Amino acid sequence: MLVRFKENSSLAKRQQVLDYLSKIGSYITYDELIANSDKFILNMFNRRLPLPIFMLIISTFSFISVTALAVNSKLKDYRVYFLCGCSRKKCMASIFSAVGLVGLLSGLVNTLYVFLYPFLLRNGYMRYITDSDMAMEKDMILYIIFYILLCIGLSLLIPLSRISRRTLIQIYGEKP
Amino acid sequence: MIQINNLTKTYQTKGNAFTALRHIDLHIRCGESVAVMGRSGAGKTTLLNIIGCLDRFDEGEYLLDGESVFSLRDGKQSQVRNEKIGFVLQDFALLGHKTALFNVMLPMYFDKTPSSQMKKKALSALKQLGILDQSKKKVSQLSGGQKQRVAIARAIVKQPKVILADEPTGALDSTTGKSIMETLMGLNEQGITVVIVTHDEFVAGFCHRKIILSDGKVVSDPEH
Repeated sequence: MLVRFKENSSLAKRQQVLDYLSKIGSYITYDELIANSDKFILNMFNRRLPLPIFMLIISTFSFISVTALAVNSKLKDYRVYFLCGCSRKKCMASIFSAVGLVGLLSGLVNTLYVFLYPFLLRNGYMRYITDSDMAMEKDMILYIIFYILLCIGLSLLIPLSRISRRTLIQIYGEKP
Repeated sequence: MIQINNLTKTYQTKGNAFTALRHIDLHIRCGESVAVMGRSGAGKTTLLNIIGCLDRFDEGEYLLDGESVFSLRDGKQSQVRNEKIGFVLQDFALLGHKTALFNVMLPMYFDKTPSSQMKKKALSALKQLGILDQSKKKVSQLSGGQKQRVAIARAIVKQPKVILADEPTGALDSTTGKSIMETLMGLNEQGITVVIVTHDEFVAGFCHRKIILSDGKVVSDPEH
């Protein structure tokens, strides 16, 4: 039951109703209701968010590590291309496109997931993952693109920091 | 062919400056074979990298075929590397997971050689080096001597004016090393300028001219 007072009702009348409600049961005010809801939502977040955040951190670090390692191991090949007459710019472009391709692939999978989500939800497939009907909106794609770009940017920092000041020949000449 | 005037190269490492080459003057004529000798850290490889347009320098002038290559843009400089220079390195610098044929064809991927001619030219280079039967094998399956022959085949496939070799026999046994040097000198006899960096007197003995570097300076050159 929700009790809503008229705006022109007097304080005395309101108190009268509240006293009556206290006699026959209990009541909570609107402010208390909001405060309790906030508390509940916070509690729910606290219980449910750690797993997605944990997975997000793991996937971010995995993505960055895998691309950085792949680029580092490929530097040996780029050194050969450089010797054979591939320009430094083309070598760099090739390195970046390789990283971009990995990011693009994961971005496509995520976008596909956003598009397929209503179908999966309708047919009950998401019950295996979550017991609530979460909403997934198309705006999510923008966040995915931003996240992927951030990951690609971070992944490129490691090889970029190695290549920017030295030639591919110098890098390969360094003893591990 | 190669004209170097008052060339200086300094490396900056963590706030420290290390001068690898100091006021180098060098002139290598077309068709010469030159051995660059010196102790570790004397500046031999740095000099070779500069001649090969793989590294930059701070002061001086370097002319390859009368052209100041370091005033060229990155793309043009790589074109010079592709067309005029062949590299033979101690560690072979080959793609181990690819076939010998692919490795020899590689320089032609970076220019406008028609694909129909790429294989033909690569096979011809492999034949010249006597390893045509190894063309379909992956480089990782070849012996050291065969790998170096693949590297030489790759170096000559574009008919360069100069071959730059950095310790070409360093990873080989003496018999194979001698054979590789004979191959390089054979190419020199065909008119290709050969510059070899080595600390091995035996290898240097194959060359017509011997230059000695010490602490980044030329301390001995019969032409001076």
